[in-house]
Amino acid sequence: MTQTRSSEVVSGEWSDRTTRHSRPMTRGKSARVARAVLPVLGTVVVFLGIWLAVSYLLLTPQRREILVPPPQEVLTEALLRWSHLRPMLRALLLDVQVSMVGLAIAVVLGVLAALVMSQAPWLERGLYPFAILLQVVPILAIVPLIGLWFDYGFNGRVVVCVIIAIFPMIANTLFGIHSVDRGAHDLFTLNRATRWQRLTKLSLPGALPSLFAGLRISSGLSVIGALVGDFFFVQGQPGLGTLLSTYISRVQSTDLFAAILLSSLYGVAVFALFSGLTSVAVGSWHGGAGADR
Amino acid sequence: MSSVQPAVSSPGTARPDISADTGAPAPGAPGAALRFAGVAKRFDTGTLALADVELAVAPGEFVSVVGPSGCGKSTLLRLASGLSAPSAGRIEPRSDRLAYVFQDPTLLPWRSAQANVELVLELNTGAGRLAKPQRRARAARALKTVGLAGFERQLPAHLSGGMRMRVSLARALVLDPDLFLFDEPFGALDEITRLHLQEELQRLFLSRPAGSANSAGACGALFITHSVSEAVFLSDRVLVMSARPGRIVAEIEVPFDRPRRPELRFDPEFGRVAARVSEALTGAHK
Repeated sequence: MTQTRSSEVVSGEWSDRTTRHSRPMTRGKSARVARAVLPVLGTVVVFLGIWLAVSYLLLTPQRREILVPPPQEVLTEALLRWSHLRPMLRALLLDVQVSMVGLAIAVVLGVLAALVMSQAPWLERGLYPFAILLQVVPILAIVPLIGLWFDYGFNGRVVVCVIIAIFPMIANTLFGIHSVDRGAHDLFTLNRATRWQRLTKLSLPGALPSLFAGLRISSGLSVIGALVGDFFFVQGQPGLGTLLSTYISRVQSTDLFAAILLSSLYGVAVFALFSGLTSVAVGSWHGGAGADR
Repeated sequence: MSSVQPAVSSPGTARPDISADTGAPAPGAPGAALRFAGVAKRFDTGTLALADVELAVAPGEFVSVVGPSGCGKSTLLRLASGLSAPSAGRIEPRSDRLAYVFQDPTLLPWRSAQANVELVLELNTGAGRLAKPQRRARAARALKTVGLAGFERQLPAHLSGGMRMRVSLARALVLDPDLFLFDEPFGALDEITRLHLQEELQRLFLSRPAGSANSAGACGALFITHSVSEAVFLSDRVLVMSARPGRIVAEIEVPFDRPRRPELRFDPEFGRVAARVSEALTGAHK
């Protein structure tokens, strides 16, 4: 059926999760926590191992400092030094604000754009190319322009963020609206549903699972968008992107790696947040569907 | 177009005469719940799906249509419901109050059983729109009628296939329609559930005029199926369709009194009627 199909297309992880839960071997809460945490820990250990190996086995001591400082140095030289960490955290705070405001705008505009396009085939044919244009536009070239048009501070960065994050919202919402069961549309037609009823009672709720799939992608992109804005604007209050660019030019490798780690962690946190939000919003009817069939 | 003439005699009365295949009042008797006159349907692709379809369903009558797959049975139903328009001929009277039961339960997965039934009442923005408490009460009553009391708050994903189809039936009942249209509603169900739901459906159909709130008279039903025994068990008349372009090539009266017991399926007379439908169907394949 439709919801099963779309769950495979849009978010494979949900069906995986369902299978895992229904496995009869599930024993107790601690076992479940262990199953969730151990793979992540394992990956982190392997990652650190590779990092160490590259630092110590592949590189000479002089090159090591610049190219790949070992993890413990990143920790002691950058992350545990308040004078180094403090500017990074302040920059991160700015990026959190920029990315969340940008994401919110991208979600609202993206969903609205998809709703408008879904109302008529000619609207979709006319507008979708512009959505694609937003996706493929050489962002590096227009970021400086955006700085000129808006400012090099908050607004300009939010605009960059929106441009980078909006396309998955449009594309996924539109896909979700189009994948609503045709029989359900017939039901609405037979009962003389108004356009508004069809939109609010069928298309929009039906599109929610893929809308959330888009949200998870866009949330990650919004973080990237915030950093890209920082990176190219350079001027204004520093964000993590600004710091990255500074660290690169001054060859402060431990700080550079620390800032990359921080921004990655923030990206992961955002992604996890919106994955959780997805299961709260549509998990009850979307995720569970496969188990009982 | 083809040498096969529609073998339709006159479609029957509300309660067909036990002895007769013919001699019933003329089609289109005033008050017919549904009537097709010379209906044809050609798709945009050029395929002629239906040709010269004549049929009538009287109020209170249960009519089944059987035919080989791809003969245009579902097209017939889409025409009857107004979901698509005929290329030729007339379809009348098109009742305002019709209930369409789809092949799939077609439930909205984010709505509970109760909310799915309420949906069709919510969509009605006309004069007869009910207030929320009344909608809720009507939906709950419909769910109770199909034996789903206690399951009102369940999401479709947590119901079995048979239960989902019951919700779909409740959603049709809650409209209190003049005409039921069924598009192979039990086709995807297992045999046991299927037989059970056939009996349920008969019970619902028979009890409806009494239980309905505002219906002026008994309602008619047009039931599409590819199961001969299902058609015979449920119907007052069985219409047999030919392969594409679909037309009605035979009409078989089913003489059994209602309510029909499940054991009827093993009655020799039941077998004879079913055999006649099967023969007509075999002819229709050629």
